[in-house]
Amino acid sequence: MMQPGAEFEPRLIAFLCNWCSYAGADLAGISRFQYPPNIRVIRVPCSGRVDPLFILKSLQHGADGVLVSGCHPGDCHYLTGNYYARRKFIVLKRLLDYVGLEENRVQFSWVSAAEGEKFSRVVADAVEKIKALGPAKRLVKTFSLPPELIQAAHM
Amino acid sequence: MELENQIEHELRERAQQLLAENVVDLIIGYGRGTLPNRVTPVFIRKPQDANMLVWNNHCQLNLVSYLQRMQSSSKIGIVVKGCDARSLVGLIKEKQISRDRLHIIGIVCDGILDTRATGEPPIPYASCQHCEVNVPPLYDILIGSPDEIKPKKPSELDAELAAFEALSPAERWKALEQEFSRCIRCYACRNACPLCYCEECFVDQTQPKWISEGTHPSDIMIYHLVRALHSAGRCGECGACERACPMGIKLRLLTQKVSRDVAELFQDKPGIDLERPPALHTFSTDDDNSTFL
Repeated sequence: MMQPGAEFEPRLIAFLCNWCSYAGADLAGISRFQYPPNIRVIRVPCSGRVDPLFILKSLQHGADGVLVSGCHPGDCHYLTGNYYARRKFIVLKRLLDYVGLEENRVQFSWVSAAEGEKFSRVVADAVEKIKALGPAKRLVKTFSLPPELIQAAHM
Repeated sequence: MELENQIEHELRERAQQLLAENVVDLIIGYGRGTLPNRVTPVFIRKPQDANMLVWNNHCQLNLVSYLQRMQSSSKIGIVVKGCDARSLVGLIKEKQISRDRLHIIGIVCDGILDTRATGEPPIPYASCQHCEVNVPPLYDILIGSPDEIKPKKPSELDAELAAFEALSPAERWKALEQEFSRCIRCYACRNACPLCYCEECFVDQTQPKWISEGTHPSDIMIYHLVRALHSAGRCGECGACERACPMGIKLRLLTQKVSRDVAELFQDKPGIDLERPPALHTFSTDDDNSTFL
């Protein structure tokens, strides 16, 4: 729960491909590039493994934003996985914008294993954009608990 | 003789011939329903039953959905309209049914009347008013003549969709939430779709359980978004999902958007060309990269 007056610190789920972006995040760490600690990383074998359902479910269950990152086109460990991903995500992105899930709530990037610095920039940029949007509200699954239960939880 | 009756007459004749000559073992077609202006699927095995077949502007079902349930190795004759044939092409491309097993009876269709619309005279479905496949893209025999078709407006966006697009993103979300709040999660849209053939749909899975049962708005929205995405690059725009919806939800708000995006991004129209792989089953190295940082 946010304290009044405190700055909104979003939580982002980052789906990083094992071969490039995850290694890029590692390099960012080793090289001591600073980036905001708002991401929670989920390592996936390939950006092509990321099902739109993962992204929607993240948003439903409390993520304020989602970042998907994989190898640059042409550099996929599995040769073509990210090309398929690119087609899939552009359709997803357009659909999300169309239904009115705010632009930038879901972001995509290519970060190679050598781009530690780019990784830190991508994360800082993503976090900044989500901060500007504020907490996710549209797809979030909320439950209306009876007030006495909420009160009990705060005691 | 009226055009429809002509088609019906020829359909019965050809069906009888096909069954009598053992070209097919079974014909899936439309039969008279128990209510006025309603048709029901019929499965005909004997030549003398060919007279059960009907054709009129209420034949709204997409009979291709029934093919999935035909497990035997029999040769099947199937009556298809243009839009139905697009989903049939999709199934053949995705290797769900073998082309050799099919004898496709294509019918030149001038649009199906909207049974829910009130007022006189009855109007065709929105999808029919903008139809561009009056003649099936794939058939073995074709009944009817393309010359008799009234002109359609294929490139225009239908009025409801255009009105929706004109809204701001926040208003669109609100409008969709309201539209889909009527959803009772009966999955009739999924079941009516000839291309929804997964043995176990993601909504039915329990390990992992992707979304809960019930009608929480976020669960409903995820179901419909993912359903639309699963049809991306495959949807033949037959409108079977929308017609199946007992709550009259405008499902094409989502499915049409995805179809238009696929057409624009990948210059692809699903279900027309048997040789071309579905748009999302393939890629080009020159695809639009602007979504990615």
